[in-house]
Amino acid sequence: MKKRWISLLLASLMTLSLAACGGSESGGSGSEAAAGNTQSFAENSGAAASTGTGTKDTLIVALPVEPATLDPFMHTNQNGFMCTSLVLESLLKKNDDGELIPWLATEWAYEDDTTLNFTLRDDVTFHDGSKMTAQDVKFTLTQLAQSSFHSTFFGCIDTENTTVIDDTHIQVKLLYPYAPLLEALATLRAGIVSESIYNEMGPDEFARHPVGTGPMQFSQWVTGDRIEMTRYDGYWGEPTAFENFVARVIVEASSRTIELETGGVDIAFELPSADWSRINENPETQLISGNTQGISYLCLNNSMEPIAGNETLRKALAYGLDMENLVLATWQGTADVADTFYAPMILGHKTEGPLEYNPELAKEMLAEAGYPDGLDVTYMTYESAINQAFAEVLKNMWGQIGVNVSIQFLDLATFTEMNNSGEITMALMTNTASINDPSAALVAWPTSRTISLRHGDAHIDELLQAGQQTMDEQERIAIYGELQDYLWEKMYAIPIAFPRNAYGARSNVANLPFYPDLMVDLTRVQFTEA
Amino acid sequence: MKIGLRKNSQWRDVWHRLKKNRMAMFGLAVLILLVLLAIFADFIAPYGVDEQNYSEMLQSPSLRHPMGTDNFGRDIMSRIIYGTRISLLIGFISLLISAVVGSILGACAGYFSGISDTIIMRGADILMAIPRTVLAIAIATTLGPGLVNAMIAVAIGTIPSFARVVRASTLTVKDQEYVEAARAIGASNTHIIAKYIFPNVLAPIIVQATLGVATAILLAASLSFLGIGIEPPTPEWGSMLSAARSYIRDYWYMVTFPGLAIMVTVLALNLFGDGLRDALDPKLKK
Repeated sequence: MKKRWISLLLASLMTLSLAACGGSESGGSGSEAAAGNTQSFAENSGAAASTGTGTKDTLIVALPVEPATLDPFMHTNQNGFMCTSLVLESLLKKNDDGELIPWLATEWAYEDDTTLNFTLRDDVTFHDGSKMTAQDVKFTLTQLAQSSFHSTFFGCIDTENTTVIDDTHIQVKLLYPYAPLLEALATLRAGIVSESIYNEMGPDEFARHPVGTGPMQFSQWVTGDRIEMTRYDGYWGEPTAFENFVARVIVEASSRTIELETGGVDIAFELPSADWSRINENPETQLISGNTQGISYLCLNNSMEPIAGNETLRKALAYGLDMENLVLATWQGTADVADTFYAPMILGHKTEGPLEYNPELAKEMLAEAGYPDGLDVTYMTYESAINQAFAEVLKNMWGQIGVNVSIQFLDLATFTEMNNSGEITMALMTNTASINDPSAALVAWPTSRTISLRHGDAHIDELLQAGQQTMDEQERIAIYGELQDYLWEKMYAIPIAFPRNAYGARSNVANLPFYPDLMVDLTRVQFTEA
Repeated sequence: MKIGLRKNSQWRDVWHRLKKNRMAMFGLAVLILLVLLAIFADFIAPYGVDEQNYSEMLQSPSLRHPMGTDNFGRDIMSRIIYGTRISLLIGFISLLISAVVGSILGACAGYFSGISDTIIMRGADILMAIPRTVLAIAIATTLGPGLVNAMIAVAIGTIPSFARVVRASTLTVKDQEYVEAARAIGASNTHIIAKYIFPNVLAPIIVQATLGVATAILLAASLSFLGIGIEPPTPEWGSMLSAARSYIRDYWYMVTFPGLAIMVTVLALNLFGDGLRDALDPKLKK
C-alpha cells in the first residue's frame, strides 16, 4: 500500500514537472521565434543588420492565412494583396483624404465616357532591370479584364481597341461607361505586371515569385511558414523605411496576439475581438481599428426550397432575429447592426432598418407562409469562430419561433466550391467591398453571379447596371437608393452586421492607417525611435 | 446450476479484491456520481443546455453561475453537467460497438485458425499501423460530424486491440478439455464459441473495455475539439474547450472547467480500470 502512495506521488510530480516543462517551452518558443527572425534577417541583410541607425531593418508581419497564390490575376485575397503591395504598383493611388494621386501614371484624363488616356512615368524599372512601358500596362489591363476574379471591375475594358501610343502613353477604351474604374485602378488589385517576365516565368512560377516595380523584391517563400522580401535598389521612388520584409503565417489567432506582445512580429492582422482592448492598453503595442467597407449578411439560397419564391417566409425569418443581441453575441461588440445592404461609408448608403425583433409576428408570418408548425432548415458554415458563434445564436433564436436549424460543418474548400455552384442552403457571408463604390459593395447581387444567393431577379440587374453606367453622382445616389429600397422589400438575403476590424502593431510602427477595404499598403510603414 | 454457483463465487472474489483497492473504489465512486449526473441532468442542472442570456455574457464564477457563463451567456456548469451525458454516451457506446465487433472477430480468428485467422488478424494489423487519432480523424471527416458518426469513428480504431486480446485468450481456451468434450458431443461451432469460449475470455475483455472507455472519451473530445466530432450547441466537453480557446487569456474559467471535467472522468475510469485488472487477475499483481 505504501509503495502505491509513493508511486502516485511520483507520478503526480512527473505530471507537474512535465506541465512545467510545457509551460517554459511555450514561453521559450516565443523568444525562440523572435530569435529566429533576427537570425533570418541577419542572414539576409548581412552587414545591414549591424549598421542599423536605431530604426529597424526588418518589418515582420503576422498573416492569419497563407495566400494560396500571389499571382495578382488569380486571387482576391486580402493577405495576398498585402504581400504584393510591396512588390507590385498600380497606376494611381489614393492619399489619406481619399483623393486619387499619380503613381506609375503621371497624368490621366477621360477623353469621353469610354476613352481614358494615361501618361506613364519614364523612370520605372522592374526588378530584373527592364523598363516598364505602356505595353506592360496594356498586358496587365487585358489580364485583369479577362480574369474571372477581377472582371467585375475591369471587364469594362475593351482589350482589343486599347492602344499603346508610345512607351509612356496608352489610350484605354471601354466597352461601356464605368464610373468606378479609376477607383479600381488605384487598388492593389491593379498592380502592373511585366508582359515579358510574366510570360517567361509562366503563371505558376509567377504565383510563387511575383516580380513588379515596387520598392521590395521577392526573395523567398517558405510554404506554410513565411514569405521574405528585400529592398530593390533600382526603385524609382522613395525607398521603404525597412530593408527586409518577412510575412509569417500564424494561423492561431491568440498566437498572433502573443507574438505581437512579445515583439516577435511588428504588425499582426485579424486580431480576435477578445484581444482588442489588451492590445490597446499595452504601452508597447497599438490597436489600429475601424469600420470596414464590409457587410455580413445571412445568404438565403433563393433557388432552393423552402426559401425560393416565398417572400413571407424570408421576412418571417428576418423578424425572428433579435439583431442587436445576435450581433453582440457573435461579434462581441466589434460590429454594428446592419441597417441596409452596404456599409455607411459607401456612396448612396440609405438607412432602411434594422428590422424590429418580433417573434410573435414572425410566427404569424410563418403560418401565413405555409409553415404553421414550423420548419427545418440547414445552415452551413466552415471553420470560423464568427460563423460558428453566429450559427449557435441563430439556432437558438429561430428555435423560439419554431424554425429548427441543423448546422452543417464543411471545410473551407468544400464550402467555397459549393457556394460557387449554388449549393449552400444558407450561410453567413461577409463581403468587403474592395473599392469604395456601391457597385463593389453589391458585387454579390448581379444575376450573373453563380454564388448561392441566386435570386434571379432581373430588376436588380437593371438597377445595378444603371448605377454603374451613370457618371453623375446625384443620379447614382438616387439609383442605389431605389435599389436598397427594393432589396429591403424583397429580403432575398438578411443583412446582419457591419463588422469592424483591427490590426495590432508595435508602438514604434508609424504610418499604418486603417484601410476600410482591409487591403493594407505596407510601403509607407515607418519606424519611430522607441 | 453448478456452473452458476461457481461463477458467482468468482465474481464475488473479484469484488472482494476490488474493495480492498482504495483508489479503484474512489474511481468507482466518481464514476457512479458521473453516471447519476448524466441520468438526472435535467433535474440537477440549474439552467438549460442552450439557454442563451445576452445580458449575462462572459461572467466570472459567482453564486448565480458557479462556473461562470460563456460568450452566449450560457451557464457553463449546466453545460458541463449535460456534457457528462454526451461524453459517457460516446465513451460507453463506442466501446460497446468495438468490444462486440472485436470480440466476435477475435474469437472467430482464434477458434477457426487458418485462412480466416490470417485475413482477420492482418486486417487488424493494418488498422493498428495507423495512429488511432489519425484514423479517427480520417473516418470522422469522411462520415461528417454528428453523435453517431463520432461514435463510429472512435469505435473502429479500437476494434483491432479487442480482436487481438480475444484471439490470444481463445487460443489458450480452445484446447481445453471442456471444449473438446463439447465438440465430442456434437455441439456446433457457434454454440461452443458462445457457451464455452466466450465466458472464459470475458475477464481480459472487461479490463480492456474499462481502460478503453477513458481513451474513447479522450478521443471523442479531441475530435470535437478539432471541429469534426459533435456539432455545437451540443455541450460536448471537447467542443466547449475548442470554442473557449480564443478566450483563454481573459476568461480562464471557460476552458478550465470543461478541461477539468475531462480530466476527472478519464482519471476515474483509469483508476477503476487498473483496480479491476488487478482484481480479475491476481497473478499479475506482485
